[in-house]
Amino acid sequence: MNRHGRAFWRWLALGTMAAVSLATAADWPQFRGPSASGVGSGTKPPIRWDATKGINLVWKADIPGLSISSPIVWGDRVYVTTAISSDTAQKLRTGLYGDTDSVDDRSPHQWKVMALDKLTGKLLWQQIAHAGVPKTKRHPKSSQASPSPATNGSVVIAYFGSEGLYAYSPDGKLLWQKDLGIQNAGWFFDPDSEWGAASSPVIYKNSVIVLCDRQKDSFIAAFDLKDGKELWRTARAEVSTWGTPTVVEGKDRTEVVTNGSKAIRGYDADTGKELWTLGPNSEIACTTPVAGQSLIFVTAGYPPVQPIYAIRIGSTGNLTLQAGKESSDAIAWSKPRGGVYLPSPIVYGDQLYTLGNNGILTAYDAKTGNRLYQQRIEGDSFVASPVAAGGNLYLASEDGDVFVVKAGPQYELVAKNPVGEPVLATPAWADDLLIVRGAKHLFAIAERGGSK
Amino acid sequence: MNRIGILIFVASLGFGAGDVNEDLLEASRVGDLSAVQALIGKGAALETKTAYGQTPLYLAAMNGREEVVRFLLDKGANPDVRDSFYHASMLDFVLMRKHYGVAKMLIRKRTANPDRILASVAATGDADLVGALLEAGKPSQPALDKTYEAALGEKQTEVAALLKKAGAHEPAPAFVVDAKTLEAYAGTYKSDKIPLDIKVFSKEGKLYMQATGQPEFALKPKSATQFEFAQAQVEVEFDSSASFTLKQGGASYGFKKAVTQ
Repeated sequence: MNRHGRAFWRWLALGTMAAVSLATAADWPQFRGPSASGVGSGTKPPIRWDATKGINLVWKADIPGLSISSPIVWGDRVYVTTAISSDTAQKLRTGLYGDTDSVDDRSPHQWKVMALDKLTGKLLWQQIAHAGVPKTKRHPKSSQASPSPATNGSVVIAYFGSEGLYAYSPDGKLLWQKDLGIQNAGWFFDPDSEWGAASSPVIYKNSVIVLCDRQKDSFIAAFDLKDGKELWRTARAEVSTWGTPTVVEGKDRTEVVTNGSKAIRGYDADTGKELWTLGPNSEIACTTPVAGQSLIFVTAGYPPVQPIYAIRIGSTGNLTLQAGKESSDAIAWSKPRGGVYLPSPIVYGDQLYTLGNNGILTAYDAKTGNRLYQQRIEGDSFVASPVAAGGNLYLASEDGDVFVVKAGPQYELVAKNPVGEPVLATPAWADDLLIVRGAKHLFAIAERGGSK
Repeated sequence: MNRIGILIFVASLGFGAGDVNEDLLEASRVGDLSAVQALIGKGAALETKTAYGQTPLYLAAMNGREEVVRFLLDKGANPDVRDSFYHASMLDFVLMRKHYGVAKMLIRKRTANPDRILASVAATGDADLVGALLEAGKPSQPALDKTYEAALGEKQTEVAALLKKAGAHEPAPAFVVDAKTLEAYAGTYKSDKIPLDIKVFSKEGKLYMQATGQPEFALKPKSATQFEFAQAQVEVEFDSSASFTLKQGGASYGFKKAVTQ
């Protein structure tokens, strides 16, 4: 850590101790933060930095192995997962390409959960959740530890697909574990294809909800946070998908919204009962639904069907639109094209933003679906989902840059900030601290003179 | 038999046929020859299809199940089937996955126009495969000539010799484009239609293209603005030094320069 960074974190520490005891707005409990919104609570988040030169870099921590899971934050801790292959030559293949092949690394692995000090990046504890040879293959751009962890501050959940579901105390004690079977998510066109699981667990009340879409016998299930006991399980007429389910609080009920190649679906979060379905959708569905403006936005981008749907919260039944229609009582608006493949959309302010893998950022009026602009970002390839804070969007590229774009109806690039290594994981916020996971390190970034 | 009895009987026949067809698709995919033989014996349909239009032969072929492929071809399965999602032939996937033993069997049985597959078969560099294709049917002269030129460019001497023997003409000398013009084309280009960046650069008097994550390839100039990459049957035409149109397989894609080198 550089001199400025060290000075900064001391100062940051004082401010944060007070902040944590007062509120939990700084927490980032799951993939894309609270309700998967991607929106951080900071008011003076970093705008410019250069992690390669230590500029506005608070700390940098080595993270061994290969993983594209996102870090999460609770209180003074950052939790992160990884899978460490004994074949040290293993790497992620970045860039824009189409490949249906898998990486078949049969060397022994360790699946780890790590807790770091949010203020210093110091490793507080690490646990090997599982060791052995991977039970399934992975996509060249994915990892054996792609689902992000989740926490409610009392339990830390780590999900490793075929290698199981694990619950730890915040101090690293294993509370329980469950084998959910082989999660052979893969190419729909070949039932033997394996790309690996990526859907992250989400915590709702006293349960953790896990979406297990795979080549056969897909399901969604909820497990008791206390002991891992299965609370409900609902079979899904789905093949493999990779998006994380989103819990959406409605007026009369809470629903779990899932992306899906056969249909987008809503479930009762308390019982798992299917509430509604909506199609058509892409054969490969990877993005996570996001709620905002009293709507649920779901998109997928595998051609030829690449829709964007804005669904009214609380709808029931078969919501599929009549031929030629783009809206209905349940669907505020939709578009048959424009859906994106890997980065999940984000609602920030009055706008819905989508980011294509090729760096095309599109802004829509979230309420009406009117397209406000479409702009190509300089980076070559994007997998990480956009996050936002302080009036800006943050777009992390595989090239190792984070682009800061002013939120609003007009496009304005504010900054391009080097991280120095490929970024495929969605960054996390802890108030004004941005935590970026690169290929080898975790970076904590903050503007000197920030609000803390 | 009363009406209800007949309905139950008919329904059970229907379910039975569905089951054996599903089982045949599964057995073909995993390469279980004895199961495939038994299921065909039970009346499973040779051309039954998955939801994506894949037949038992398609699934066996794309997974490299040589014994099953041989058996199904002997039974008369159609090797020219295209799936309903990608509209690709089984040979496309077989070549992509390098199941050359299967490819040879399919090539010998195919009846479709050899022009469509000549370039992709030659691109494997496998002379046996190319030989099998040329034995199965003569491609058109333009297809032979283009593929021959590509094989020369890739230094695939055995393949080139086979194509030459089949009647391919020597390629015309390349048009010479001055270095300044080539350098003006250099940059990174993006398309709104496909999520692929293409880097264009000049090196040792030649213009090269490289799509993200793919190997570079040299373009042959046909004029100061028109270029081709015969091996992949790619044609490129620059409208200016900041945009070009790429044509391949009947489709065309506009690219605009995003970054100047």
